[in-house]
Amino acid sequence: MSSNIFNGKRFLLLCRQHFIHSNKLLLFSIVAYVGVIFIVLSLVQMSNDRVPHDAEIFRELLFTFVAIFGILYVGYSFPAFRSKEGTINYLMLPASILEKFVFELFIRIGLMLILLPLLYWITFHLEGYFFTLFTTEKFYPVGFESTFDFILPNDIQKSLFWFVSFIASLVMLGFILAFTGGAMFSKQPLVKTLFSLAIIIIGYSSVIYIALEKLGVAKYNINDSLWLTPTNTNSAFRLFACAAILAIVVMLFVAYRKLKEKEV
Amino acid sequence: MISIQNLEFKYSKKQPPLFHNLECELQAGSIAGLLGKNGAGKTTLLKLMVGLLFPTEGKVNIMGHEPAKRQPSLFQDIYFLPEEFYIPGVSIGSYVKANSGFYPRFDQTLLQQLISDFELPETKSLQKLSYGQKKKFLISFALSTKCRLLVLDEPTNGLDIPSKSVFRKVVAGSLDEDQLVIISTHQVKDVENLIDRILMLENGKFIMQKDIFDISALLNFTTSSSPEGENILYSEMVPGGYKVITPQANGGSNVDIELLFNAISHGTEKMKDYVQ
Repeated sequence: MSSNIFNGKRFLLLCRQHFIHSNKLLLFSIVAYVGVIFIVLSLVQMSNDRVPHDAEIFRELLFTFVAIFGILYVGYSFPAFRSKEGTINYLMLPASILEKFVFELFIRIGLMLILLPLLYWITFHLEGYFFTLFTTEKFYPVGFESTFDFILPNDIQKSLFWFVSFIASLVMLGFILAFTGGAMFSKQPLVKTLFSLAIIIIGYSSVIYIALEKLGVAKYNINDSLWLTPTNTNSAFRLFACAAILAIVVMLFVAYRKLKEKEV
Repeated sequence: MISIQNLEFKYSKKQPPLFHNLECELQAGSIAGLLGKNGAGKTTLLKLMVGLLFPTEGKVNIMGHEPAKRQPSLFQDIYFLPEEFYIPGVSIGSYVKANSGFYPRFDQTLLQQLISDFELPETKSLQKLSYGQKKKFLISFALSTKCRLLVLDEPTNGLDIPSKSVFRKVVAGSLDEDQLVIISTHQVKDVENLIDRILMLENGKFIMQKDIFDISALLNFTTSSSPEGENILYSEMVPGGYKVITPQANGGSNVDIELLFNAISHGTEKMKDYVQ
């Protein structure tokens, strides 16, 4: 335990502590998540004359469930900060700030991004096979590869790398914002994060609108090689992907500083 | 072990400082009682010592570390038991399994002994225990960590009368020479015959920092039929007479901490001269 920055043994102790303290809560959460998915899938199938779900429904509901439950779960990051007593207990734990931060990031986002789709996939198949007991139609298993099995428009295909980077970083930014909100706000972090986000977006949109429309910036003829001014689809995806990645880094730094400077 | 130099602290820029030029040195191998009235800043000072608050000015040094940096190498040697605490909904065994690994000197045998002394049910969920039982468990856990610095904030609050006696016994009996215990309390009777150094906090300053032995050598705590007398430094009416403090003349006497506390808080300058 020599290192004060990061120590693998301490990190594992943090993991062990988390799973021992929260095993019941995690179990109930998993049961609730699986239950909700099962019910929604059943309702959708019944409203569709019990026709088994296909890859398209799999994809649509996967993104919906992971987004909703993911944000709810990530928005509850740093649960110890919800009470003064919990905060004291958490801050006094003999682990470094980096270990606590990386652990929270891993458990809230890393593990969530693995577990939620996996549990969804399992429930999707359980529900599919369960319904074959009541219908003559056959259920065909759906793999994760079919999630991305769709045709993109031509201009997007040409800039596929930046498009994927943009979408991935945008999704990640959504989770990171909820994560940072959990570190910043003690009470109702998700609501406060969404409110702060709305204020920031309204503020930025107003500034951009005033600059472009009222001050006439939009009327300037611009050079095609300008990095910060997109002139085609590729440069637009590149700009927004880079902006989202930058925002992720800034938000992670803010969360880390909040953890480091927390006083109670 | 603990060195506090020119400590100044205020909760916000607009507020006057709670502490101003606070100085203190504490060595291992003792049990120090931090005494003071409500709102004197006892808990704030403890939080500054363990790095939960950051000093506005001055330095706090614990075993060569700055606690505000919250380094694990220091925190594995500090255990802070706050007055109001968090406890998860797991059994004693699970709690110990989850948390003991963080403390390299953790003594499992001592924990079993303390759990038995406090008559705690091991299998029940900690959430289902009473406040006093939870506190007794956390006291047992704190002592079992064998941390070199144990900081206990109002540890006897919520403990029943027999448990207070067990508390004094286990604290006195479980410590090693390299450990320092700081107990903050306003219930001075609970820590009588336990602490060997008194720190008294008032108006942001220590109005007394003395070993019990030194106080005992300086002052005599006795009873009298009259509150007046040539040598009486302070007196307090009790049923059947007066408790008085006089200069020590012949050997030592047991220090009545409550009387001493009142004497210093409300007493004369002459009384204060004795202890400063």
